[in-house]
Amino acid sequence: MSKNLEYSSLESSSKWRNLPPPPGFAKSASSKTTTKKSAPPPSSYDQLKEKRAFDFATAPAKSLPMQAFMLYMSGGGVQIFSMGIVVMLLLSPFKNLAGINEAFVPFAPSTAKDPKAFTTLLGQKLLYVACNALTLAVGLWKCRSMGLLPMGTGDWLAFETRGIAPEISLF
Amino acid sequence: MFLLPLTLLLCSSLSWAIHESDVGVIDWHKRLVGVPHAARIIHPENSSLVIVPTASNVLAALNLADGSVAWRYAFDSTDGIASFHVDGDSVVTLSGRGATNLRSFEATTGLITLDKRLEWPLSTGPTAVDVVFASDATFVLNTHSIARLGSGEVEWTWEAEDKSMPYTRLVQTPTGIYAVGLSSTSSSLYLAAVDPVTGGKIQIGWKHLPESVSSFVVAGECAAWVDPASQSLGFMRLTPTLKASIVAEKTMKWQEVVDVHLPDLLVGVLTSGDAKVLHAKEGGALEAIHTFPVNDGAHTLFSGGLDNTGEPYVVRLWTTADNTTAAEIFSATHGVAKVAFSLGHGTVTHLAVDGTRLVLTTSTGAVQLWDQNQLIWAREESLASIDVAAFVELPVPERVARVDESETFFARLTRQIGDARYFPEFVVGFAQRFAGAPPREDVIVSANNHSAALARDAYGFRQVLVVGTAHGTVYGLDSSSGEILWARVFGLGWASAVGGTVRPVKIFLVNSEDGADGEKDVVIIAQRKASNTLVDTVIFRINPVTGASVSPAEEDSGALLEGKDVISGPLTEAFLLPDSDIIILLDEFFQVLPYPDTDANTAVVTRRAPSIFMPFLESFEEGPRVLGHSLKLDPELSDRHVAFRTWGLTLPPGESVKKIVKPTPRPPAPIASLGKVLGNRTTLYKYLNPRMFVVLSEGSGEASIGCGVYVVDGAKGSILYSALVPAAGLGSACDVQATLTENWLVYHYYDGEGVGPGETKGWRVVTVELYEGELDEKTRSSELSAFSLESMQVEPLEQSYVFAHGITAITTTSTKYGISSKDIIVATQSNKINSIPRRLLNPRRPKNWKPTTEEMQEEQLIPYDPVMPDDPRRTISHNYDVVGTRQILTTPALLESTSLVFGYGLDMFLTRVAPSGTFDVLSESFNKAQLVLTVFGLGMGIGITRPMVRRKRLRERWYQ
Repeated sequence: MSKNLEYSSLESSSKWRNLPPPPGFAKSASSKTTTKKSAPPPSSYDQLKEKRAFDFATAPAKSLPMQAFMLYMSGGGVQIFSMGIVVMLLLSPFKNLAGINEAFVPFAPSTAKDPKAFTTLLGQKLLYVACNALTLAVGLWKCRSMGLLPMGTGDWLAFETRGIAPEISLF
Repeated sequence: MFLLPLTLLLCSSLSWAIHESDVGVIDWHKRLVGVPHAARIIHPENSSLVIVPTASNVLAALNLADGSVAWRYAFDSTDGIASFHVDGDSVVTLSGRGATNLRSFEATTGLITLDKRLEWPLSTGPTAVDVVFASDATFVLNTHSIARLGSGEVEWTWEAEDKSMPYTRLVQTPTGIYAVGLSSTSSSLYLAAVDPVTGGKIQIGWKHLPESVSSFVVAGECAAWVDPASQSLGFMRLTPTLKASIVAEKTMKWQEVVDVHLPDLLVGVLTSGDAKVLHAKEGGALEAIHTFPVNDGAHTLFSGGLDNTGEPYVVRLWTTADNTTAAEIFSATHGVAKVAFSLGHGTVTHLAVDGTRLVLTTSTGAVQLWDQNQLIWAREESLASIDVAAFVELPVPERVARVDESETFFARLTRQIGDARYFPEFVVGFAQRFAGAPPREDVIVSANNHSAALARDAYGFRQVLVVGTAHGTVYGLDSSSGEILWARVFGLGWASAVGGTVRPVKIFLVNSEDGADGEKDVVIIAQRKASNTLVDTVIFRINPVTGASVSPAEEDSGALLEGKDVISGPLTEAFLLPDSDIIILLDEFFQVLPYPDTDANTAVVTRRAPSIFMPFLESFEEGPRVLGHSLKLDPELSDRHVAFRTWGLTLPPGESVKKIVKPTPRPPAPIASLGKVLGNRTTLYKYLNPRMFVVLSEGSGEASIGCGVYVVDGAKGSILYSALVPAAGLGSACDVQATLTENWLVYHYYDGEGVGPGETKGWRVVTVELYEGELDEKTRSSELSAFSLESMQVEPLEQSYVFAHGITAITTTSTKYGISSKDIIVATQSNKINSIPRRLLNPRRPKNWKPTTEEMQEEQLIPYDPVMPDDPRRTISHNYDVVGTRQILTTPALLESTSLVFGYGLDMFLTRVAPSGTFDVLSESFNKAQLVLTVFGLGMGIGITRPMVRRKRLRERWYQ
């Protein structure tokens, strides 16, 4: 029982290796032919990818109404739910932007030299950044409305210091 | 309208009434009566009471058995007690201007049975009153008139036709009512006999007396006097015809006759020092029934009294050469009893006798009952006239040792091993605390616990309250119980040879010279007025824990407290130089004298002199003025700094300064916030000029223009805020009470002008906050020079409210870091101490504008209401009758949330308040056991589930 069963090694070293494939199953030749036949031209495939990339870039903006509704429902108080949503709104843009290049790799056009370069799909990526910024803005607006942003002088009052007056009056 | 429930909700949450379980634990109240002027012992219904009218204008009855106050009646300050008379089970007082108000008190309960204003014809000159009691009526003499009161009504009034001779005594004999007066100008004894039933004049006459007679005594049917020139005793019988002739007794050399307030006894003193008790017999003869032999001491007092069987006693009391007090008590049936005891300090000012028991009042304001040679009880009534008071924090207990910084490693090791012996105690204490049963006395200092040693408690609730009184005494009181820890009497220094009085003027706390660990000394600056009219300024430096003098050092703390004469002359002012232990004294020539007077301190004063400004009151012929002073050194005039006038506060014509109100607390507490943050996160910056103080003025003359309230800059005298409020009534005095802290001024006055529709007469309280300008506008006022232009930029916010009570004192609470909100503490005329929450006195309470939700929430605004509700939950003095509070002193505890409040005047009252709630202490109802059990349960849960989870995960690995 205490033995690992290594199936992976079986395929290459198996003695059945050189057996012909079963009828109707072409291992490589058939697949090659079908691909060749059904695959659309690479340019249209790239167009599709580009379209998908746009969809992906605008996805954060599309979810905004839903998030706005959730924010509205969670109320203005500082509670676990509103805080959770706000934290999510504030963190996800940064998480998204950190992984922006990896996220767009599947949509890279076939001509791209380096699918991970920032310059590939630059337009979509900029749009993606903008949409994430929108999410962030909504998050920040919520923070402000909850009074969590140090916007006024009152928020910095505690850090103000005063010196000693040059004259003293004795009582 | 929806705001109303909100308001109620807010109000209910902000006011915390005192819990009944806290009464007597967090607070204490001492009922005092004041220093008696006289004392008379009466025996109504088998009880024994000492009836005393006092210097605090109180009539009180003390239980003779234990000295407790049976009842007391505080007269209004305009209604001074003129005389009091006792008769069996009632006490009659005459009070007020012209002694026109007659009150009759039931002796056992103090209930007023008669309160009557007697209409006397106007008399010029001094008023003399006397009262005698008959079985069915009371006769009252007032200078020239006699009235008979029966069953509460004036039945008749007899008036002398000749208004030139005042009668001073009223005598009742079976034959009639006699008024007797002695005219010093014509040296005659004036007599009037009046019919007691009809009030008709029977006879008026006068007897010529020798010119040197200045006083007389009436006993029984006799009027008696001593002629100092011929040293003879003269007396005459009072008969309706007034024809009885004067009898002169010349066989002995008489010095004086003394009234002992007994029906038919008086004391005649001979020049030899003997004193004879004289009995006025029927028929108008005097008979000596006892002779007090000559004694060895000075200061002789006589007194008489009846014991509960009606037996008269006469006592002679004197101070012997070795400073003990001796007395001889004589009664006809019991003979003579001799007692001698040591009074401690002071001399006896008057006494009352009941059998062998003596009730004494001493010159230091103590009332004592001595039975034979035993002190039965004593009351320190000088505490009813406190002049200066200060809280002093107790030193840290020995066990919380401060570590010497230069301690070697070995020394530290030894000390820590030594400290290890406290470890079991610590563990037990820790376990006890953990188990949820805190040793209550340790944590919450109780007023009932007097046994604990004098050491600082964990929260700093226990402090020493050092008070100096007008009777030249100084006491250390335990702030947790009000017990007297030590009592000292100011010594007279060189003036002890001639006599005099010492009256404390100022009290300061300075760091003690040897203790580097925050121990404080109390410095009391006093004025000593010697009997030869010389005035000196004396400094007493006291250890607040023991009451021992620090400088000059003393060995025997039972002796008189000796001070140090610093100025041979009166003191103008004294100040504590901030951030130092130097006290600046100004003598009458305005020369500056630092105390302690060392070269280093003089150098400090020289260095800081240019920045020092001193505003204070100076009196001039036309009245007091507020003048500002600064310091300069002119070697040609004096080798000391001299204060010279730099500015004078000019008030509108007709107004004169009444009072200066210094900002509280002294010394200034740290300011936690520089501004007020509004709901929209903008800031109103506080105008925090540290030199501000308040001047209260009053209009003089017939057409009173009102009372002024001015906030003045102390360095240059500019007025930063001013208001003119109406006086209490036409021609009546101003009674404005004010307090200033940080940028917040609260004042209280009586508005008697509201006569139009929609206006009310009544008390007003006004809250004023000073800001640097509009929203977000700042001038950094707290560090500005007084002479910069911006320092004049002040924006006041103010609101006024109708208040339910007149007040006698007002102050703010003070906490250690100033973070807790500050409440206003007032002593009301209804003898209560109330606190007014800060939120009710917020001048931004919305009146004509609608606040946003943010503003309502963030600033906790309550909609403006012109009437400040009289909420009994804001009374912090429970149901105590705290009479005559003149001043309230607050001090921080070690806890930021809590402030100690001490009110003094006639009574003393101390409590603690937490204006923002006790946020830094777990509430008593906090369930520690539950917390411990929960934590324990969670730990158990983890302990049980951890092996289970481990086993499960291992199994998962096997079968994944």
